[in-house]
Amino acid sequence: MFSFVENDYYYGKLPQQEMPLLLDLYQNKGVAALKAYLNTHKLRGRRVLLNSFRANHADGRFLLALDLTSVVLDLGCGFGTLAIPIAKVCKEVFAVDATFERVQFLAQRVECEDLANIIPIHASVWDLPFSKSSFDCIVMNGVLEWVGEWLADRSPREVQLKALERCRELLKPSGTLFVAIENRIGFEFLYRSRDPHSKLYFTSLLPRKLASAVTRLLKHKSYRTYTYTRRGYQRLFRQAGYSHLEFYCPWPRYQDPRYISRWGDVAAARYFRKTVLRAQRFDEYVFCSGLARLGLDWLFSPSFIILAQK
Amino acid sequence: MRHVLEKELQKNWSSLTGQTRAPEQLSLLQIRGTDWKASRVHFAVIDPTGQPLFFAKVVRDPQQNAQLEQEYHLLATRLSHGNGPKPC
Repeated sequence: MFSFVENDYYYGKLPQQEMPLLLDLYQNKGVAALKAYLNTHKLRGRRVLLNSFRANHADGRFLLALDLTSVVLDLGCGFGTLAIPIAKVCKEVFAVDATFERVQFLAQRVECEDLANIIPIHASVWDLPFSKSSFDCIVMNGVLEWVGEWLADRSPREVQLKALERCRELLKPSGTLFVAIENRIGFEFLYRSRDPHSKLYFTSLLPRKLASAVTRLLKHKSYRTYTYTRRGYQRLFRQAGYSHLEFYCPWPRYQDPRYISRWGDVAAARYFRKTVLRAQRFDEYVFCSGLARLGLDWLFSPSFIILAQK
Repeated sequence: MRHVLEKELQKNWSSLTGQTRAPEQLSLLQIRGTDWKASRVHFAVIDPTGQPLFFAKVVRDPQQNAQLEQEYHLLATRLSHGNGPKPC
Protein backbone atom coordinates (compact mmCIF):
# COMPACT_ATOMS: atom_id res chain seq x y z
CA MET A 1 0.00 0.00 0.00
CA PHE A 2 1.30 3.48 -0.93
CA SER A 3 0.40 6.73 0.77
CA PHE A 4 0.73 10.17 -0.81
CA VAL A 5 -1.17 12.28 1.70
CA GLU A 6 -0.65 13.01 5.34
CA ASN A 7 -4.06 13.94 6.57
CA ASP A 8 -6.64 12.38 8.79
CA TYR A 9 -9.51 12.79 6.32
CA TYR A 10 -12.19 10.21 6.98
CA TYR A 11 -15.20 9.57 4.81
CA GLY A 12 -17.64 6.80 5.53
CA LYS A 13 -20.84 5.91 7.29
CA LEU A 14 -19.07 3.33 9.45
CA PRO A 15 -17.70 4.96 12.61
CA GLN A 16 -13.95 5.63 12.27
CA GLN A 17 -13.21 4.21 15.73
CA GLU A 18 -14.68 0.84 14.67
CA MET A 19 -12.41 0.48 11.66
CA PRO A 20 -9.30 -0.96 13.44
CA LEU A 21 -11.48 -3.61 15.08
CA LEU A 22 -13.17 -4.52 11.78
CA LEU A 23 -9.83 -4.75 10.02
CA ASP A 24 -8.41 -6.91 12.78
CA LEU A 25 -11.45 -9.18 12.64
CA TYR A 26 -11.15 -9.58 8.87
CA GLN A 27 -7.39 -10.12 9.06
CA ASN A 28 -7.48 -12.77 11.78
CA LYS A 29 -10.86 -14.47 11.55
CA GLY A 30 -11.92 -13.96 7.96
CA VAL A 31 -14.88 -12.56 6.09
CA ALA A 32 -17.52 -14.77 7.75
CA ALA A 33 -16.59 -13.47 11.21
CA LEU A 34 -16.60 -9.91 9.94
CA LYS A 35 -20.06 -10.28 8.42
CA ALA A 36 -21.38 -11.91 11.61
CA TYR A 37 -19.97 -9.07 13.72
CA LEU A 38 -21.46 -6.38 11.49
CA ASN A 39 -24.85 -8.05 11.52
CA THR A 40 -25.03 -8.76 15.24
CA HIS A 41 -23.78 -5.30 16.28
CA LYS A 42 -25.95 -3.54 13.68
CA LEU A 43 -23.29 -0.90 13.09
CA ARG A 44 -24.39 2.23 11.27
CA GLY A 45 -23.27 2.07 7.65
CA ARG A 46 -22.47 -1.66 7.77
CA ARG A 47 -24.25 -2.23 4.46
CA VAL A 48 -21.57 -0.37 2.52
CA LEU A 49 -18.94 -2.79 3.79
CA LEU A 50 -21.15 -5.88 3.44
CA ASN A 51 -22.15 -4.94 -0.11
CA SER A 52 -18.53 -4.47 -1.14
CA PHE A 53 -18.21 -8.28 -0.94
CA ARG A 54 -21.10 -8.84 -3.35
CA ALA A 55 -19.97 -9.02 -6.95
CA ASN A 56 -23.42 -8.10 -8.25
CA HIS A 57 -23.14 -4.60 -6.80
CA ALA A 58 -20.45 -3.97 -9.39
CA ASP A 59 -22.54 -5.01 -12.39
CA GLY A 60 -22.16 -1.57 -13.94
CA ARG A 61 -18.70 -2.72 -14.99
CA PHE A 62 -20.21 -4.77 -17.81
CA LEU A 63 -20.75 -1.52 -19.68
CA LEU A 64 -16.99 -1.12 -19.95
CA ALA A 65 -15.00 -2.68 -22.77
CA LEU A 66 -12.16 -4.07 -20.66
CA ASP A 67 -9.71 -6.81 -21.55
CA LEU A 68 -6.57 -8.37 -20.10
CA THR A 69 -4.43 -5.47 -21.34
CA SER A 70 -6.53 -2.73 -19.70
CA VAL A 71 -5.06 -0.52 -16.97
CA VAL A 72 -7.74 0.94 -14.71
CA LEU A 73 -7.80 3.68 -12.08
CA ASP A 74 -10.55 3.39 -9.46
CA LEU A 75 -10.89 6.83 -7.88
CA GLY A 76 -12.63 6.65 -4.54
CA CYS A 77 -12.38 2.87 -4.45
CA GLY A 78 -13.84 2.49 -0.95
CA PHE A 79 -13.66 -1.12 0.22
CA GLY A 80 -13.13 -2.39 -3.32
CA THR A 81 -16.72 -2.92 -4.53
CA LEU A 82 -15.68 -2.29 -8.14
CA ALA A 83 -11.90 -2.59 -7.95
CA ILE A 84 -11.92 -6.28 -7.03
CA PRO A 85 -14.35 -7.57 -9.72
CA ILE A 86 -12.65 -5.36 -12.33
CA ALA A 87 -9.20 -6.66 -11.39
CA LYS A 88 -10.31 -10.17 -12.38
CA VAL A 89 -10.76 -9.14 -16.01
CA CYS A 90 -7.99 -6.60 -16.63
CA LYS A 91 -4.24 -6.12 -16.34
CA GLU A 92 -3.91 -3.71 -13.43
CA VAL A 93 -6.14 -1.68 -11.14
CA PHE A 94 -4.81 1.32 -9.22
CA ALA A 95 -7.30 1.68 -6.38
CA VAL A 96 -7.16 5.16 -4.85
CA ASP A 97 -9.02 6.52 -1.85
CA ALA A 98 -8.48 9.55 0.38
CA THR A 99 -9.58 7.67 3.51
CA PHE A 100 -6.68 5.72 4.96
CA GLU A 101 -8.84 3.13 6.75
CA ARG A 102 -10.58 2.17 3.51
CA VAL A 103 -7.34 1.72 1.62
CA GLN A 104 -5.98 -0.30 4.50
CA PHE A 105 -9.02 -2.55 4.38
CA LEU A 106 -8.76 -2.95 0.63
CA ALA A 107 -5.07 -3.84 0.94
CA GLN A 108 -6.09 -6.61 3.31
CA ARG A 109 -8.74 -7.84 0.86
CA VAL A 110 -6.19 -7.89 -1.94
CA GLU A 111 -3.98 -10.09 0.21
CA CYS A 112 -6.82 -12.40 1.27
CA GLU A 113 -8.18 -12.80 -2.26
CA ASP A 114 -4.67 -13.19 -3.69
CA LEU A 115 -5.09 -10.48 -6.33
CA ALA A 116 -1.63 -9.32 -7.31
CA ASN A 117 -2.84 -6.81 -9.90
CA ILE A 118 -4.51 -4.34 -7.51
CA ILE A 119 -2.35 -1.54 -6.16
CA PRO A 120 -4.05 0.20 -3.21
CA ILE A 121 -3.05 3.86 -2.96
CA HIS A 122 -3.86 6.40 -0.26
CA ALA A 123 -4.15 9.69 -2.13
CA SER A 124 -6.62 12.38 -3.07
CA VAL A 125 -7.78 13.25 -6.56
CA TRP A 126 -5.61 16.42 -6.46
CA ASP A 127 -2.27 14.72 -5.85
CA LEU A 128 -2.45 11.58 -7.92
CA PRO A 129 1.02 10.25 -8.62
CA PHE A 130 0.44 9.35 -12.28
CA SER A 131 1.63 10.78 -15.57
CA LYS A 132 -0.70 11.90 -18.36
CA SER A 133 -2.39 9.32 -20.62
CA SER A 134 -1.82 6.41 -18.23
CA PHE A 135 -5.20 4.70 -18.11
CA ASP A 136 -7.61 2.86 -20.38
CA CYS A 137 -10.39 3.45 -17.90
CA ILE A 138 -11.03 5.63 -14.86
CA VAL A 139 -13.87 4.70 -12.50
CA MET A 140 -15.62 7.27 -10.29
CA ASN A 141 -18.38 5.36 -8.56
CA GLY A 142 -20.34 7.77 -6.36
CA VAL A 143 -17.44 10.21 -6.11
CA LEU A 144 -18.04 13.18 -8.41
CA GLU A 145 -20.84 14.62 -6.27
CA TRP A 146 -18.56 14.64 -3.20
CA VAL A 147 -15.50 16.37 -4.68
CA GLY A 148 -17.18 19.77 -4.18
CA GLU A 149 -16.66 19.30 -0.43
CA TRP A 150 -12.90 18.96 -0.78
CA LEU A 151 -12.03 22.49 -1.92
CA ALA A 152 -14.15 24.93 0.06
CA ASP A 153 -12.69 28.07 -1.57
CA ARG A 154 -14.22 27.31 -5.00
CA SER A 155 -17.75 26.65 -6.15
CA PRO A 156 -18.68 22.93 -6.15
CA ARG A 157 -19.20 22.99 -9.92
CA GLU A 158 -15.71 24.41 -10.47
CA VAL A 159 -14.22 21.68 -8.29
CA GLN A 160 -16.14 18.98 -10.16
CA LEU A 161 -14.94 20.45 -13.43
CA LYS A 162 -11.36 20.46 -12.18
CA ALA A 163 -11.65 16.76 -11.14
CA LEU A 164 -13.08 15.81 -14.55
CA GLU A 165 -10.31 17.71 -16.34
CA ARG A 166 -7.69 15.91 -14.22
CA CYS A 167 -9.26 12.55 -15.18
CA ARG A 168 -9.24 13.59 -18.82
CA GLU A 169 -5.51 14.21 -18.61
CA LEU A 170 -4.91 10.79 -17.09
CA LEU A 171 -6.94 8.93 -19.72
CA LYS A 172 -5.33 7.46 -22.82
CA PRO A 173 -6.69 8.93 -26.10
CA SER A 174 -9.22 6.09 -26.47
CA GLY A 175 -9.82 5.72 -22.72
CA THR A 176 -13.19 5.82 -20.98
CA LEU A 177 -14.27 7.61 -17.83
CA PHE A 178 -16.98 5.74 -15.91
CA VAL A 179 -19.03 7.97 -13.61
CA ALA A 180 -21.93 6.65 -11.52
CA ILE A 181 -23.99 9.37 -9.88
CA GLU A 182 -27.53 10.36 -8.86
CA ASN A 183 -29.94 12.24 -11.11
CA ARG A 184 -30.78 15.62 -9.58
CA ILE A 185 -34.47 15.08 -10.37
CA GLY A 186 -34.56 11.32 -9.89
CA PHE A 187 -38.07 9.99 -9.27
CA GLU A 188 -37.40 8.87 -5.71
CA PHE A 189 -36.19 12.35 -4.69
CA LEU A 190 -39.49 13.91 -5.76
CA TYR A 191 -41.28 12.62 -2.68
CA ARG A 192 -40.06 9.25 -1.45
CA SER A 193 -36.43 9.58 -0.39
CA ARG A 194 -34.09 12.10 1.16
CA ASP A 195 -31.21 13.49 -0.83
CA PRO A 196 -28.54 10.87 0.08
CA HIS A 197 -25.86 13.57 0.36
CA SER A 198 -27.52 16.16 2.59
CA LYS A 199 -29.82 13.61 4.29
CA LEU A 200 -32.67 16.07 3.82
CA TYR A 201 -35.75 15.98 1.59
CA PHE A 202 -35.82 17.96 -1.68
CA THR A 203 -32.41 19.64 -1.38
CA SER A 204 -31.24 18.35 -4.78
CA LEU A 205 -34.40 19.78 -6.38
CA LEU A 206 -34.09 23.24 -4.84
CA PRO A 207 -32.11 26.09 -6.42
CA ARG A 208 -28.52 25.81 -5.12
CA LYS A 209 -28.60 28.95 -2.96
CA LEU A 210 -31.86 27.94 -1.33
CA ALA A 211 -30.56 24.39 -0.77
CA SER A 212 -27.45 25.88 0.84
CA ALA A 213 -29.57 28.06 3.13
CA VAL A 214 -31.59 25.00 4.18
CA THR A 215 -28.52 22.84 4.88
CA ARG A 216 -26.82 25.70 6.77
CA LEU A 217 -29.90 26.02 8.91
CA LEU A 218 -30.46 22.32 9.54
CA LYS A 219 -27.01 20.76 9.10
CA HIS A 220 -24.76 23.76 9.80
CA LYS A 221 -22.88 23.49 6.52
CA SER A 222 -23.26 24.68 2.92
CA TYR A 223 -24.77 22.49 0.23
CA ARG A 224 -21.80 21.42 -1.88
CA THR A 225 -22.74 17.96 -3.18
CA TYR A 226 -24.09 19.01 -6.54
CA THR A 227 -25.91 16.56 -8.76
CA TYR A 228 -27.40 17.45 -12.15
CA THR A 229 -29.99 16.43 -14.66
CA ARG A 230 -28.84 14.59 -17.79
CA ARG A 231 -28.54 17.88 -19.64
CA GLY A 232 -26.57 19.34 -16.73
CA TYR A 233 -24.11 16.43 -16.85
CA GLN A 234 -23.80 16.84 -20.61
CA ARG A 235 -22.84 20.49 -20.16
CA LEU A 236 -20.39 19.70 -17.34
CA PHE A 237 -18.63 16.89 -19.22
CA ARG A 238 -18.48 18.84 -22.49
CA GLN A 239 -16.96 21.79 -20.64
CA ALA A 240 -14.35 19.43 -19.17
CA GLY A 241 -13.38 18.37 -22.69
CA TYR A 242 -15.25 15.10 -23.21
CA SER A 243 -16.77 14.85 -26.65
CA HIS A 244 -18.43 11.43 -26.62
CA LEU A 245 -20.95 10.66 -23.88
CA GLU A 246 -23.15 7.62 -23.28
CA PHE A 247 -25.80 7.57 -20.57
CA TYR A 248 -27.16 4.44 -18.92
CA CYS A 249 -29.94 4.19 -16.36
CA PRO A 250 -29.30 1.73 -13.51
CA TRP A 251 -32.34 0.79 -11.41
CA PRO A 252 -33.11 1.09 -8.54
CA ARG A 253 -29.78 2.89 -8.00
CA TYR A 254 -26.22 2.74 -9.26
CA GLN A 255 -24.90 1.24 -5.98
CA ASP A 256 -27.15 -1.78 -6.50
CA PRO A 257 -27.90 -2.00 -10.23
CA ARG A 258 -30.48 -4.75 -10.72
CA TYR A 259 -31.46 -3.49 -14.17
CA ILE A 260 -29.49 -1.30 -16.56
CA SER A 261 -30.75 0.12 -19.83
CA ARG A 262 -29.33 2.62 -22.28
CA TRP A 263 -30.73 6.13 -21.95
CA GLY A 264 -33.27 6.64 -24.70
CA ASP A 265 -33.77 2.94 -25.49
CA VAL A 266 -37.56 3.13 -25.76
CA ALA A 267 -38.19 -0.59 -26.33
CA ALA A 268 -36.11 -1.68 -23.33
CA ALA A 269 -37.79 0.99 -21.17
CA ARG A 270 -41.25 -0.21 -22.18
CA TYR A 271 -40.40 -3.80 -21.33
CA PHE A 272 -38.83 -2.71 -18.03
CA ARG A 273 -41.90 -0.65 -17.05
CA LYS A 274 -44.37 -3.39 -17.83
CA THR A 275 -42.50 -6.26 -16.22
CA VAL A 276 -40.46 -4.77 -13.38
CA LEU A 277 -41.94 -1.42 -12.37
CA ARG A 278 -45.55 -2.59 -12.51
CA ALA A 279 -44.75 -5.48 -10.17
CA GLN A 280 -42.28 -3.80 -7.82
CA ARG A 281 -43.03 -0.05 -7.66
CA PHE A 282 -46.55 0.66 -8.80
CA ASP A 283 -46.42 4.40 -8.02
CA GLU A 284 -43.31 4.78 -10.16
CA TYR A 285 -44.94 2.69 -12.90
CA VAL A 286 -47.98 4.98 -13.05
CA PHE A 287 -45.81 8.10 -13.02
CA CYS A 288 -43.40 6.81 -15.69
CA SER A 289 -46.13 5.38 -17.92
CA GLY A 290 -47.85 8.77 -17.98
CA LEU A 291 -44.61 10.53 -18.81
CA ALA A 292 -43.68 7.91 -21.40
CA ARG A 293 -46.61 9.06 -23.52
CA LEU A 294 -44.95 12.46 -23.67
CA GLY A 295 -41.51 10.88 -24.16
CA LEU A 296 -40.32 12.31 -20.83
CA ASP A 297 -39.98 9.22 -18.61
CA TRP A 298 -36.18 9.23 -19.01
CA LEU A 299 -35.86 12.53 -17.22
CA PHE A 300 -36.60 10.97 -13.85
CA SER A 301 -34.25 7.98 -13.86
CA PRO A 302 -32.95 7.69 -10.25
CA SER A 303 -29.29 7.71 -11.25
CA PHE A 304 -26.95 7.55 -14.21
CA ILE A 305 -23.90 5.68 -15.30
CA ILE A 306 -22.04 7.98 -17.66
CA LEU A 307 -19.35 6.71 -20.03
CA ALA A 308 -17.27 9.62 -21.31
CA GLN A 309 -14.50 9.66 -23.87
CA LYS A 310 -12.20 12.47 -25.01
CA MET B 1 -18.95 -7.04 -21.98
CA ARG B 2 -22.09 -5.35 -23.28
CA HIS B 3 -20.15 -4.19 -26.34
CA VAL B 4 -18.86 -7.70 -27.07
CA LEU B 5 -22.34 -9.14 -26.63
CA GLU B 6 -23.83 -6.53 -28.97
CA LYS B 7 -21.28 -7.44 -31.66
CA GLU B 8 -21.94 -11.17 -31.25
CA LEU B 9 -25.69 -10.67 -31.44
CA GLN B 10 -25.37 -8.53 -34.57
CA LYS B 11 -23.20 -11.21 -36.15
CA ASN B 12 -25.54 -14.08 -35.32
CA TRP B 13 -28.80 -12.15 -35.65
CA SER B 14 -30.29 -14.11 -38.53
CA SER B 15 -29.64 -17.52 -36.95
CA LEU B 16 -31.00 -16.31 -33.60
CA THR B 17 -34.15 -14.57 -34.76
CA GLY B 18 -34.81 -15.67 -38.31
CA GLN B 19 -34.79 -12.02 -39.35
CA THR B 20 -32.39 -11.07 -42.12
CA ARG B 21 -31.23 -7.69 -40.84
CA ALA B 22 -30.33 -6.75 -37.28
CA PRO B 23 -31.39 -3.31 -36.04
CA GLU B 24 -28.58 -0.74 -36.02
CA GLN B 25 -28.76 -0.37 -32.28
CA LEU B 26 -29.97 -3.34 -30.27
CA SER B 27 -32.32 -2.88 -27.33
CA LEU B 28 -30.69 -4.59 -24.39
CA LEU B 29 -31.80 -4.63 -20.79
CA GLN B 30 -29.16 -5.85 -18.37
CA ILE B 31 -30.78 -7.94 -15.65
CA ARG B 32 -29.05 -9.26 -12.58
CA GLY B 33 -29.18 -13.05 -12.44
CA THR B 34 -31.45 -14.24 -9.69
CA ASP B 35 -28.74 -16.18 -7.90
CA TRP B 36 -25.62 -14.05 -7.90
CA LYS B 37 -23.49 -16.88 -6.55
CA ALA B 38 -24.04 -18.68 -9.83
CA SER B 39 -22.18 -15.76 -11.44
CA ARG B 40 -24.77 -14.97 -14.05
CA VAL B 41 -25.98 -11.79 -15.65
CA HIS B 42 -28.82 -11.81 -18.15
CA PHE B 43 -29.35 -9.49 -21.05
CA ALA B 44 -32.89 -9.35 -22.39
CA VAL B 45 -32.91 -8.59 -26.09
CA ILE B 46 -36.03 -6.55 -26.76
CA ASP B 47 -37.85 -6.03 -30.06
CA PRO B 48 -39.11 -2.54 -31.06
CA THR B 49 -42.56 -3.22 -29.60
CA GLY B 50 -41.09 -3.83 -26.15
CA GLN B 51 -41.38 -7.64 -26.20
CA PRO B 52 -38.38 -9.79 -25.26
CA LEU B 53 -36.99 -11.79 -28.19
CA PHE B 54 -34.61 -13.88 -26.08
CA PHE B 55 -32.28 -13.73 -23.12
CA ALA B 56 -28.52 -13.89 -23.31
CA LYS B 57 -26.80 -15.38 -20.27
CA VAL B 58 -23.34 -14.22 -19.41
CA VAL B 59 -20.93 -15.37 -16.70
CA ARG B 60 -19.57 -12.75 -14.33
CA ASP B 61 -16.17 -14.30 -13.85
CA PRO B 62 -13.85 -15.44 -16.59
CA GLN B 63 -13.45 -18.88 -15.02
CA GLN B 64 -15.39 -21.69 -16.60
CA ASN B 65 -18.74 -22.04 -14.93
CA ALA B 66 -19.87 -25.67 -14.73
CA GLN B 67 -23.49 -24.85 -13.94
CA LEU B 68 -23.81 -22.58 -16.95
CA GLU B 69 -22.25 -25.20 -19.21
CA GLN B 70 -24.78 -27.75 -17.97
CA GLU B 71 -27.60 -25.31 -18.71
CA TYR B 72 -26.20 -24.70 -22.19
CA HIS B 73 -26.23 -28.41 -23.04
CA LEU B 74 -29.72 -28.83 -21.59
CA LEU B 75 -30.96 -25.92 -23.67
CA ALA B 76 -29.19 -27.17 -26.79
CA THR B 77 -30.74 -30.62 -26.37
CA ARG B 78 -34.23 -29.19 -25.93
CA LEU B 79 -33.87 -26.86 -28.90
CA SER B 80 -32.49 -29.58 -31.16
CA HIS B 81 -35.93 -31.26 -31.04
CA GLY B 82 -37.63 -28.21 -32.48
CA ASN B 83 -36.86 -25.64 -35.13
CA GLY B 84 -35.83 -22.89 -32.70
CA PRO B 85 -32.54 -21.01 -32.76
CA LYS B 86 -29.40 -22.62 -31.37
CA PRO B 87 -27.87 -21.14 -28.23
CA CYS B 88 -24.55 -19.40 -28.83
